[in-house]
Amino acid sequence: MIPSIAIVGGGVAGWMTAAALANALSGLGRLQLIETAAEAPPELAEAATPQLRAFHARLGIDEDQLARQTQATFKLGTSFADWPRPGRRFFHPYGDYGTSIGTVGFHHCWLRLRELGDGTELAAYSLAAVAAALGRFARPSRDPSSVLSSFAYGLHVDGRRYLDHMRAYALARGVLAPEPRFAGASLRAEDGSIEALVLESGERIAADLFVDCSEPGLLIGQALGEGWEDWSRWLSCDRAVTVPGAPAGDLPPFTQVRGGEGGWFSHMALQDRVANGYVYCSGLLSDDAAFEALTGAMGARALGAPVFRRFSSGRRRQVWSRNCVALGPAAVVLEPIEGTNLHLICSAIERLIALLPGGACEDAAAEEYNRLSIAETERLRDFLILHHHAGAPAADLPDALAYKIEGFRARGRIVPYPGEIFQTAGWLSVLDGMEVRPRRRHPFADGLDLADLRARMQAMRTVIGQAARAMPTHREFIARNCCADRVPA
Amino acid sequence: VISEGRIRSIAIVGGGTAGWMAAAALTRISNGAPLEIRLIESPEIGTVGVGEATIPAIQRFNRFLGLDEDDFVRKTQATFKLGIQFRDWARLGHAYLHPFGTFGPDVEGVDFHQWWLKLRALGDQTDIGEYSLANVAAGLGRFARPGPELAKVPSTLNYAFHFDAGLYAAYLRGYAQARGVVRLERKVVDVELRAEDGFILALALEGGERLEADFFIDCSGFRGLLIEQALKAGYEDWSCWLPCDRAAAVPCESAQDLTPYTRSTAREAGWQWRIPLQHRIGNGYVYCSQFIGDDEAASSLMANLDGPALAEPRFLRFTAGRRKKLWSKNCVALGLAGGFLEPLESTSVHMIQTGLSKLQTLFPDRSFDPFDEQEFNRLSILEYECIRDFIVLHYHATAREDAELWRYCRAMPIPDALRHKIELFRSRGRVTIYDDELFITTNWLAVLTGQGVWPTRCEPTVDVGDLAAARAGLQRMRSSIREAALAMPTHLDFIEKNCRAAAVA
Repeated sequence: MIPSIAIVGGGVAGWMTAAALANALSGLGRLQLIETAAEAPPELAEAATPQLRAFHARLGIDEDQLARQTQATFKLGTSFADWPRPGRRFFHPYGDYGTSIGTVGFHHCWLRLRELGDGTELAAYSLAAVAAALGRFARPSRDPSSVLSSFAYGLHVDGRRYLDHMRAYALARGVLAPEPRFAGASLRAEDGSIEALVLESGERIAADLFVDCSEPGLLIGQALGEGWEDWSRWLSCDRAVTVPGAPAGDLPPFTQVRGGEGGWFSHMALQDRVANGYVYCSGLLSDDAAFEALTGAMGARALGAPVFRRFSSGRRRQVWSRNCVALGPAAVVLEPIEGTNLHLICSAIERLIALLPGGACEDAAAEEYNRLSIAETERLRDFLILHHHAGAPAADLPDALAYKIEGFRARGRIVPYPGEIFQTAGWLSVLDGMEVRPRRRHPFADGLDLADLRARMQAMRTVIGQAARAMPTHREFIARNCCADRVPA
Repeated sequence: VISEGRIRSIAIVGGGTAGWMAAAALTRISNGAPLEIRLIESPEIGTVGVGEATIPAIQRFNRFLGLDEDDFVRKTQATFKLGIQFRDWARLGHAYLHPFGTFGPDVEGVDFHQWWLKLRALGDQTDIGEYSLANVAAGLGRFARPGPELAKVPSTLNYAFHFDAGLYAAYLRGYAQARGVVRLERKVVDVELRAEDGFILALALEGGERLEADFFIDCSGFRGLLIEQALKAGYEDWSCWLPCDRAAAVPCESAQDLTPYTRSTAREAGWQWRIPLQHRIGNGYVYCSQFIGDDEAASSLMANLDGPALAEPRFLRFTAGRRKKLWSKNCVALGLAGGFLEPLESTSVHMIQTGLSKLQTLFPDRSFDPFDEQEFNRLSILEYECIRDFIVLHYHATAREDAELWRYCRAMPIPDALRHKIELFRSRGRVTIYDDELFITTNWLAVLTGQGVWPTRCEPTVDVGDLAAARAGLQRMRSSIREAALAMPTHLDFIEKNCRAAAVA
């Protein structure tokens, strides 16, 4: 049996959900999307993690075509400048570092050389990081024996154009989008589940499953009363201002993040402009001061007016409740310092499709969905907290994060947890970038002959350097493959 | 300067499968660093090796050591294993195979098994085993190693071994001793602890010798000479879920057909294993002493052998569960010293292997940072619990009501994680896998359906798919699997050609 599904909210989460469900259900079943009166404008730019590529592929979306239509550029990672304090910097690449030697993992070998005074940064062992620093880009190879298979990439896309793309995709596959907007929901007396959506026209929309993609959680929170777990004690930024800027001379194939007084700046270069943002804490900075600081940080003239947003980091306690699933900001809000907004949406959509009901919702599916959602959002939360509070006392951190930091301090161990978006290499780059220093490394890293070890590490750097220099520049790559159709003035 | 706190010496207590696996692996794990490894085993070890069944991951261990597989098979009287047959588990007269390798690939972007379930709901009675090359080959008594081309059917099979545990230990002993491991044939009479922190300082050996080491590995078996008797790690008892607490084991003469699979037959108060080796068959009855006496269990075992018994039955006692700490201070427990899960899914050797793999990752130095111990225990406990739940599934999901053990297991409350898995499968045939689980979708699928757990509904994505195309795809899959199986030699021919063991005097 194919379920009928009603989506509330016409932001990027709502239209991505509509597009993916229309694809998964082959246009069968009744899929509707209802917009709300309070749709926030799309983001200037959204970052996509490498995992979004599989999402696009499943939808049959050609990446070059998507890139042309969304002014997209490629993303090899994120650079953090003035982080964790002024004058320091590091890079979080999408890809691996080096290769292990014998039974000893790569970073233990690197730690040994560092202890002996070798100042080579981790980044020198990552093809994504080296290529990013050179402003170069090419797609990775599928041949596992090639160094070109050691990295991945994501995208920067224009937020409005991406949303338009998803909307057009969904509408072309039979998703219905009635004109009247959402007015409320009626609940069943017997079990408190949602009976129907009520539109401004008075029309009622019944469905087997309701997906709440509205920003404030109009169904999950306001209608069903599911509570919100607040994470602002760890992630205190609660405001963002964005301004589009004129394109700069260079086209970095990575997101640039820089530490500021009350938060952090970000710059994502699209093909036709630069999306500049400042995410800050309202307790430390006024909106005016933030806008002024962002203007100063832009380095190019503004192409539009600033847009301010308010948010608060946290998650919905129950994301699947009765016959309603919250997806997008109604489910989880985390600052986009690692460019994970679209990722959270697409992984929630994939989870939903894997657990889709046919007709009435089942407890087992909801339980599984909630279990997986909580694991994913909490582990990402921990990763983001690490960017701000690596040195905090363990008692002030979530337990899983405190344990992870202690594992790295104790012996360079990167404790893996289920549900993590970023794995060993991602954690390694940020732990090291945040100056968490291991007390020990793997004892058998010392069993390796030093001259041999040095030669092998040098060889890794050489291979990576050569591969990076052989890539075209980011701009050349785009010009050749996916230059936007029309660059507006 | 850097090497100051390095572990210089290791003492392994116990020379069974666990002890010699540890000794052999440590010569590689040390990555060339100097490490003195001594193994202490008592002289009065039994002479008859028990048949041991394994899972495919053992190939990784063999490769890690750099063993020649055919040589290993010859030296341990080993045979090949494509899965485990479960007889009378779901109900009397029923049998299914838990095969190694994968079932058919996805069809039309949807999991294979969802299509199979959908066709089944429409009346197609094809057994899931027909979509597994290992299963079909096992049924035909055939064996070949998987083919190299990933896109082709012969690559979808996987295999493990049955071997003589005594010969395996001897084989690894040769390997380890050739790489500098020192074997001491002595009895440990006492364990000397450091007064200030309770760390193990030395072992007192029979004859007054004293053996010091930086680090100790307890492979002394279920009693846990170091981990329990000396360090008092404590034991978590799981007999409420796994009530079997005894086993009787006996070898018998080999039958003519050399089955390339382990057999487990559910009996009145437990289950009987049958492990075919080249020179004989290992048999045993795992039972619950609450429901059957030792004599009755032994006579049931002796009455159900393929050929004449080659010895008197040997009895073992155990309690399902695990040590509260598998690493305590400067001691790690491996094998039965760490815990006991009955060998229903042939995981005993595997857990020694993963214990060693964790030890490799978390190898300590003489500062014995508490993190190493904590992390080793965290990972070990997760692993034990996942395997426990998989085994509990076999007992719990049964229609048998003919004996007290089965009535108890059907009605017993089960661990939450397992309950969730069963409910999720019942609702729409979905399989969830927890963190880093040994058994993955194909394993759970085989045992859930084999034990008679059936979903009530199908995945909605199957309802929108092209059923006719899927039906045709599944039909093609079955014929190409059958074709590939028929192209393999018989198990016996394969062994004759590649790895026949010397005849036993």
